[in-house]
Amino acid sequence: MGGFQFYRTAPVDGVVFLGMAAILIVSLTGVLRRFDGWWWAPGRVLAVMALAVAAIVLVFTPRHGWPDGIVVVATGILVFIVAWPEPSDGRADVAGRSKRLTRSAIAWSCVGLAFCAWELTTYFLGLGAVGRLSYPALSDVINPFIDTPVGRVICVAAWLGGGVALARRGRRAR
Amino acid sequence: MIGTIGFAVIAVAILVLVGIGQFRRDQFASFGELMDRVMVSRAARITILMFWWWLGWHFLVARTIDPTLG
Repeated sequence: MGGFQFYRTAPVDGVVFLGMAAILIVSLTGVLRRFDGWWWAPGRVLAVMALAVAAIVLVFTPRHGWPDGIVVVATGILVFIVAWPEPSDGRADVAGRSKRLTRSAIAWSCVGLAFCAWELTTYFLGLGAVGRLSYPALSDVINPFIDTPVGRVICVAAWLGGGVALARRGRRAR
Repeated sequence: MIGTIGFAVIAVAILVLVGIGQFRRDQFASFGELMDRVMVSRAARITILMFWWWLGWHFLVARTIDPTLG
C-alpha cells in the first residue's frame, strides 16, 4: 500500500503506510517495550483543549492550508502519545478469542478488503480526467461535499470524534 | 456512475454488519467489541490510529484529489 502511494505521487502518504509496516515489524521483536517505563501521558484537560483548537482551526481556516497541516500533525502526535503505552499485566498476550469474535473479524476484514479492492479498481479504470468521471475514487465522490461549510464541519467532527473513540477504545482495552 | 454504486454497496454491507452486531450479539461480536480486542495489541493500535490520522491528512491537508473533478 505504501508503494502504491509513491506510485500515485503521494510521497507523504507512502511514508505513513510504510511507517505502519515498519512499526508492525519492529513491534514483533519486542524492542519497543523498553520505552514503556518513561512514557508521558497527557492529561484530560490538555487533550480537550488540543481538540478544541484543532476543531476551530480545521473548520475556520482555508482547507489544505498550512494551519491545517500543523494541526493535523500535532493531533497525530498527541494521539500517538496517548495510544503508545502497553498494558503492564501482559493482557496483550493473553486476551482470548471466541467464535463470535472470529466471525465478526472475518466479516469486517472481508468488507475492508472489498473496499480496498474497489478503490484500487476505480483508480486504474479511471486513469485520466474522463475516466475518473465514470470511475471516481471515494475521495472524488466526497470531495465536493467537504468543500462546503457544512461538509467541512461534519468531516472535522467525524475525524476528531473517530480519533477520540479509537484512542478511548485502546485505553479501555488496556 | 458504476464506481459510485460500488461504494454504495460497500456502505450497505457496513450497515448490515453493524445491524447484525447489534441484534445478533450471541453469534456476532459488534464492531466495538472487535475493536476492544484488536486495540489490546500495540502494533494493531498504532496501525489503526495511523490509518485514522492519514484520513485527516488526505481529506483536510493534502491535495491528492483530482482538481478536474473538484
